[in-house]
Amino acid sequence: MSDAYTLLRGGRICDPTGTADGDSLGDLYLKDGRIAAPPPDGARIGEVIDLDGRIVMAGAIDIHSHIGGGKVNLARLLLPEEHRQHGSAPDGLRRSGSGLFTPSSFVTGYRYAEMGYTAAFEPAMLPSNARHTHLELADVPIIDKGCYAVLGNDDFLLERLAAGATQSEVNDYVAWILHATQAVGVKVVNPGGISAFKFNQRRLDLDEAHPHYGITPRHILTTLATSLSDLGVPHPLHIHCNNLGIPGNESVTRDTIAALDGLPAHLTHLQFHSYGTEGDRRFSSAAAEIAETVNRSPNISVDVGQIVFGQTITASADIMSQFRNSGLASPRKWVCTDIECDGGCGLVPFRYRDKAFVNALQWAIGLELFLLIEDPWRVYLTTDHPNGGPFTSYPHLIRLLMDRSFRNEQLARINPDVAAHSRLGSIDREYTLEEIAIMTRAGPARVLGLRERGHLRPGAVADVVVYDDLPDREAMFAAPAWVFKNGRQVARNGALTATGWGDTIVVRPEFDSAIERRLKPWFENHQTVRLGNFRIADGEILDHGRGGLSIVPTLTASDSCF
Amino acid sequence: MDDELGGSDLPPPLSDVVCPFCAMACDDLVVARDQAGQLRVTANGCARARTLFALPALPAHCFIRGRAASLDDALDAAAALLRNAGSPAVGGLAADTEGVSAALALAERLGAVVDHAASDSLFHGLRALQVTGAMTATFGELRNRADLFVLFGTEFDRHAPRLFDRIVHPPTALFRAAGAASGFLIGPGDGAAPEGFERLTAELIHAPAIAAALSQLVVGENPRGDRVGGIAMEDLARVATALREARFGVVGWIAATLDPAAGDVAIEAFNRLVVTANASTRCAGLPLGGKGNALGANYVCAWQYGMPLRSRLGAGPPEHDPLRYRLKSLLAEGGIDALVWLSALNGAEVPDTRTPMVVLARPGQPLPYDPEVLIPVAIPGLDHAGSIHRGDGVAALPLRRLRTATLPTAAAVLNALLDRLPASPHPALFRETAHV
Repeated sequence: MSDAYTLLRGGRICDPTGTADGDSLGDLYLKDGRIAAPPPDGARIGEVIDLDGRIVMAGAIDIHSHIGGGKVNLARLLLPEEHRQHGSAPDGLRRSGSGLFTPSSFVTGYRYAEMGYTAAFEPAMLPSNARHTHLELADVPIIDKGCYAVLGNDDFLLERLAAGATQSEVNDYVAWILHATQAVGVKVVNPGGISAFKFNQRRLDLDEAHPHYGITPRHILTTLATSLSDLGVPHPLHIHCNNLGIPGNESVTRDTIAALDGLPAHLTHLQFHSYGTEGDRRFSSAAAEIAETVNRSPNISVDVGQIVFGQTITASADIMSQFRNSGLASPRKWVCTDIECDGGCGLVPFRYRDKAFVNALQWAIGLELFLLIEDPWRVYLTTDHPNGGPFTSYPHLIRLLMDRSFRNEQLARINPDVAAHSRLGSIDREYTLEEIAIMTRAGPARVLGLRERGHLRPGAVADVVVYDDLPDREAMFAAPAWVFKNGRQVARNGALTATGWGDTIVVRPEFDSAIERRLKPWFENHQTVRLGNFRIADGEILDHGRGGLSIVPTLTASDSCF
Repeated sequence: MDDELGGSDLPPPLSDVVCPFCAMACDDLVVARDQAGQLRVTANGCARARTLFALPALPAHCFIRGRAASLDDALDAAAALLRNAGSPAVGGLAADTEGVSAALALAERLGAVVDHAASDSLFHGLRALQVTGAMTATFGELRNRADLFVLFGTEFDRHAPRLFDRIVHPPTALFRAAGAASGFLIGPGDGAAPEGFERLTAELIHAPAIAAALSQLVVGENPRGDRVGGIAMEDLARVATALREARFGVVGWIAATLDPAAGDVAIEAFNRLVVTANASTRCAGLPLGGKGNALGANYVCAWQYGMPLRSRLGAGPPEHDPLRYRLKSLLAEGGIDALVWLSALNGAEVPDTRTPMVVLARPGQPLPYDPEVLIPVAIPGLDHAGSIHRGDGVAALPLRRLRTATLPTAAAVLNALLDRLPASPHPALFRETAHV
């Protein structure tokens, strides 16, 4: 503890959750890693930084970014060429590393921090891969991180659902998984489909019976969404819908929202699930229909999964989709793995080309979703890194959203048929700075239940970013003037100045531990890891001196989700 | 992590102990211990596990050129050797995640080449991956699902000791009759095949041709000739039919028994066979074998640096070359002037080289020569907690401390060595953040 305050003086504080309007100048006090209330006269002020009217926001939060775990690491091994092209040497502050769309762990933390991001969430942690994932994330410096455990294709759950398990039994299992894998949320990926692929089925629709268990994706989805709601887990079910990437999948996306019937849920990388079948190529934008559905559904939040043009790799637990798309691999090599009666993993390298109609339309669909979904509290900036492109393209995307003329210049450069098949060129909307602060900070914090992050009110973790108010919003967001993590300066003008370790963010809902009596024999009779070895002890995360555990409080009846 | 030792006079046997001594990473061992720290596997271990768990926990000295020395003096001598090295290497890397991490950090400080003792087998698979990709499944999936195993290799008992008990013929299975999996063993040898299996004798140098012929047969083409690699075409046709008719077939291989010069070519052919079979049914590849947490060491290097082993770290951006940075070749050519060798687990025999060497080894590790510096280290999973990766690539398993250890961990020794070395002499600018 220190008795000195750090004063950030005279900034335009852009905090959509507070009272500051972003237009008048204000001061911000930091103390002991937190935002502090203005101190009484005579308090000791250590450092004073004059912001000269620069823009001040909370640290940005990436709600969906594949930054660590088995499939990301396998992607690194699959494409040494990308790592040869993007390498960095040690310099006394930074460890060396490499990679742009699957950066190594240290580089991941440095680049996020340099862009003003102070937390990122790995969205596809298979429970069987949880220990590996946390080992990797322990080597991601500076930022806070958390993981969503993937459920909904695990044989334990499917078998119990088929046997008619009660909601409360499922709730106990879901809560147990959250504890055992040190997760902060639950993601469902192609509900039932990954398992169905193991039985040699190649596609599964929302109301199609699973070939072995006879249950439907709808049943899996609604049961899991109900679980998280019942358990008071702040982040609602994180949903990767069925039929990713298939033209016409917009109907399953809308049916999924309808199936939730008002239950809170987050639909991820919505761009990949907003495709129609109109036109000569039988591939069209359904962004308007999907956006309208989201606008009418206050229980739904989304992230976009915007694509950016260039080389990347698609990395997904959705092995059913990835096997179907394996012929599109560029370069021509890919990985598919069936995993532990738990899930799967598919890696397909891909190059999004701006002159290719399909890719160019995907680009336009993502931007249409951003611009047509009205409430910035419910739509978040993601590229589904690395699936749509690297997280380092966020400043570019922010400019596309804030600068209509820049957007239309880009639209004019891509496959010319897209302008004719998309309403993008006719959309006037430009995001304001406050809307950017909502979609990259306050909104993700709220939907994740991070009460101490995403805002600048007293008591918040002092993750603070100061931007020069440049007309070129890409330049502005690529290189913030200052970045503070836990009250300590970590970057200046877009370059790292210090490093350290963030927290692992978890949630721990209450549950009846009697579920272990059912799970223990399941692990012994059907798995290849025993229950006690599956479960990750706190010490495995805490004992290496690489950041703490931060527990998100569960919701109570008086908390509103949105 | 929690100290596993209780205060009672007669510690009870420990159950669900993870074995760190091969890539099967069995986690169901029962281990008894006495007051002296002597461990004994009482259930579920293979012969290797029984031998290695029973190694006594001896207090051991450090040595400098064969003379007993204190740890501090040994570290000073090691630092002096490494400080002036022009072409250093950090090899062996048979250790837990934390030991490997510390070894890589040391290599980065030194500008050293990194490689694992068992990397030849590892790189058969890795080079194939980098050319064709892979289509695989993990132990847990196969235990419950696989109804056909086509296994290339030899000495399965030695390389994957409990494969048949745990995965092929498990006591229970979800989606198949537990004891009923059948299959083919393709490789040298003519001993009795396990129940349900048929042996097709061939030299493994022909594995690529055999797998290619099977791919043709699976899609209904007729390869030329009446034998491939010594196996009659009608026998291969039966294998192909079995793969086509299996609900979930497996093509597995022991990488260490493939042609040393072209194991990658064989694995590429296995992968093509697997992908071909998946056109109509399900099938998966299964790499088997490995020791000394080789896969885990490679994973740690990949996530920390973006590159696999056989890279040079710290002398600029990580530089990977699977041929140029093969440590065995570099040692044979005299291309290394100082070597750090890490052998906290089995599977990393100290190389027979006159290269000046700092050896961190578990007690009892045979040494061809007295190295410049020898520092004994604790065994992960017996003497201290940690983690390792199982060979099928997904599960990382927790290692526990089973007894009171007298030796430092490899990570502690390596970190102490790092502290004695100067920081990177050549600061370089970080690459500018770019977007596509």
